[in-house]
Amino acid sequence: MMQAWVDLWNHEERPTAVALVRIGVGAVLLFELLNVGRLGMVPILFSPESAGGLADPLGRNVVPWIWGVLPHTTDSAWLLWGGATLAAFLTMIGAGTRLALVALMMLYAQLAQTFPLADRAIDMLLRNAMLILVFSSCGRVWSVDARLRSGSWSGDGAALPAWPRHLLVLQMAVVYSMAGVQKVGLTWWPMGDLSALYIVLQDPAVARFDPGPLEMFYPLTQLATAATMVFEWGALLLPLAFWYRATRDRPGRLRRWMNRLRFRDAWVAIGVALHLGIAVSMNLGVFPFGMLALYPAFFHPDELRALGARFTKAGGASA
Amino acid sequence: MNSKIRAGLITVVVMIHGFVAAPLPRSISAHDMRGDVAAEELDRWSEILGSVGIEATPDEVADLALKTGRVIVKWRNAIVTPIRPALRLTGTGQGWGLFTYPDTRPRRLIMRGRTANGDWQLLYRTLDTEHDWNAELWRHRRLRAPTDTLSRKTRPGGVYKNFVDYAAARAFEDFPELQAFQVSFERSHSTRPGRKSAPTTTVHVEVRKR
Repeated sequence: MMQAWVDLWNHEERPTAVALVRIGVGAVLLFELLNVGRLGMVPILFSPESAGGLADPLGRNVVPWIWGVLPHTTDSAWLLWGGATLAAFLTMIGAGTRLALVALMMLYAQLAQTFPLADRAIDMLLRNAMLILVFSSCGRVWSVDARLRSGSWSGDGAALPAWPRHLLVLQMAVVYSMAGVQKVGLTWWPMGDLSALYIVLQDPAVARFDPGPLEMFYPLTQLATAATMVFEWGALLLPLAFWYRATRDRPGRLRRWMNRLRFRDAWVAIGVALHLGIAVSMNLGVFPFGMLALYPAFFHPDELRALGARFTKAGGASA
Repeated sequence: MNSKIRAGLITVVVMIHGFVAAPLPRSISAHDMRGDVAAEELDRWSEILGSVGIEATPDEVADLALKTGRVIVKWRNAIVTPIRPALRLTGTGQGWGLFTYPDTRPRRLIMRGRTANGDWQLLYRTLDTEHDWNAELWRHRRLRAPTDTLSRKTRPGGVYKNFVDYAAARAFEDFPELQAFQVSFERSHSTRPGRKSAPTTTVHVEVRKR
């Protein structure tokens, strides 16, 4: 058992999956920060109250360290935002990757602590992912670093430790399963008529459209509520599904059944559909895209390569 | 790195984050049990318990939840406090629960401006395509989420007042004819189809004069 646990974290693979996660996370945060800048929100979100910000980070028991270093001005807020934006760009293109990731995570944390109410669960999840990526080889492929190091954008083809990807998978399993377990509001359950999403979609703060004709679609929202619960509770089985995939030659009825069902693939497909559904029907900003940016971690680099080859072939055939 | 040391370190990280992620309350107070959403949940739990032969009033259910919750909060804080500085520095943690309790009393942000003749004109109303002044800004999650979260409270506090000041300054700049500016929330009641909703009310009215 102990040896199996040690072996689990000892695999090696090409770091393409974590590189895709790095590119996705960098791109999502770059978009988010540029959009905040474009809308002119930097002074109100990231300045202290005395400089025109909405929140008062200086009045708290623990003042964010950045405000012990920078003067309490709007210019400092722009500097903080600019540093985070630059770090997101460098993360995306993989230039000085490790340093860029550390800078992005730390500066993004300071933005969060300046105005905690404006920092949501997705922001924290992306910082968790960055912390894992710092220890990964995500900058060794499809990056400026790879180009400088090996002369090729695709890197030197070396197999490197796979544990950061495994840890990302575990993180996602925790996120989804805990989101499911914490849904104790009765409306998520049959006792509450599975009416949760019907109620959520009536909330003007998060709905994308006026809920006027929503009543016609009540059964559909009930189905979506049930699907959400099955999906989130199903995440509890995700580590097991990965284990069964990796040990498919071993005996066991449950192992055979889950592999035949292609549990992981089905679960990931539902996840993609769920997040695209959220992107269309709800106004939650980068949340669905931030989540989807982490999805490449669910796939072994060989699977991603095969998927890429299939797309290339299909593209070539259609051309 | 030695594979056993690596596995050991990962085990420690997984255990710490596993504990932080556990669905335990972070704080709990009697005030939390007094909201409309909590009251609806307590009523339903009381009904459900009654249907399986356990008689408990909503107050008794709330009391049990408070007592149990306080013990859990105490234990959780004792374990999480030592690692809190590291979590703060990296901005990491594990706190998930998307729409744990769907809000049956949602609020709609309203902004109005008053001209010299005394008429109030609607400038912005969430999801109203005809009154969408600066809609992209007010709908951005980094403004929408704080204002919506604060509007749940009886007293939304200083951040909300700062938000109104900011919105008023923008309005007076964009509409030179305005003499006064008002922010409020329309509070409605979401129910299942066929159920009667409570009337819509207006809350947290704040006015700023030029």
